[in-house]
Amino acid sequence: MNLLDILTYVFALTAILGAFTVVMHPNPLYSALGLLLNFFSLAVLYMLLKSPLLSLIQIIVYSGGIVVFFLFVVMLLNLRSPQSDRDFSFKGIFALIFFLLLAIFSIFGIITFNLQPLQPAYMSAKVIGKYMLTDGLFAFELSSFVLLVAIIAAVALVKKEESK
Amino acid sequence: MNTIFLLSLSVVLFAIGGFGAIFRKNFLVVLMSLELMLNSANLALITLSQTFGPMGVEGQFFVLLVLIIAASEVSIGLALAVNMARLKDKVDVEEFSKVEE
Repeated sequence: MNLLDILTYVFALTAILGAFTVVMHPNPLYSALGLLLNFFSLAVLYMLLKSPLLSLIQIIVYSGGIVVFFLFVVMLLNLRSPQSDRDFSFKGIFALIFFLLLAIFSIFGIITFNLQPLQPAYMSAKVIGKYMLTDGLFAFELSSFVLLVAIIAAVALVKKEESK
Repeated sequence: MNTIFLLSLSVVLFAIGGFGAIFRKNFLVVLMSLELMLNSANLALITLSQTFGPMGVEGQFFVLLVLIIAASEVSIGLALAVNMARLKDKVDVEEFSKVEE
């Protein structure tokens, strides 16, 4: 077991820890911080998988953009925390059983499926950019349209109606 | 650092996120759980793309697309959350189960 394996296991553990914090913590502020821990651990795993561009984008966009966005909204709304935020009814129990079974059967499927071993190749920004502007051009342009729609929708949703 | 371990990690993160999306009632935490699910899909895509060696550029490109979808989803979702807080002063998904509100 070399250093890279130990790093992988440590950051896998912190990723699961962050995910549990998101789901279980009663305060949404700490949930956002758990999300930050999860994103950062996944960025380290991407770096270990020799994908430095995606790792840095993960840190910049997710940890720097989306988590800060969540923190802004949580602090802006400043809601009093409700009595029981968590749903212990039939729905919650059913979701627990369903996703537990899903995880167990999927892991069995992964073990029995004949997967190729990892042979990581260094994915530079040049390789990904070349693919993006040749074969993936249509999806790239379509994603710019999706972003435009998201901007317009967000502005239209939070705009206060003046004549009322 | 093998394929089975990383894919199992992705499945576990997906299950935690999906459970949280149903278990919690706070709309902000539901959105965070959806982010967890999208991120676990990203991890699976990168792992599988790296099993193909230098041929796996498509997987890396799809991760970028998933990222764009996640960013737009969060911006629209948080705009909805701000509207919810204006209407009823809370962001509980049980309170907003009817569309006409």
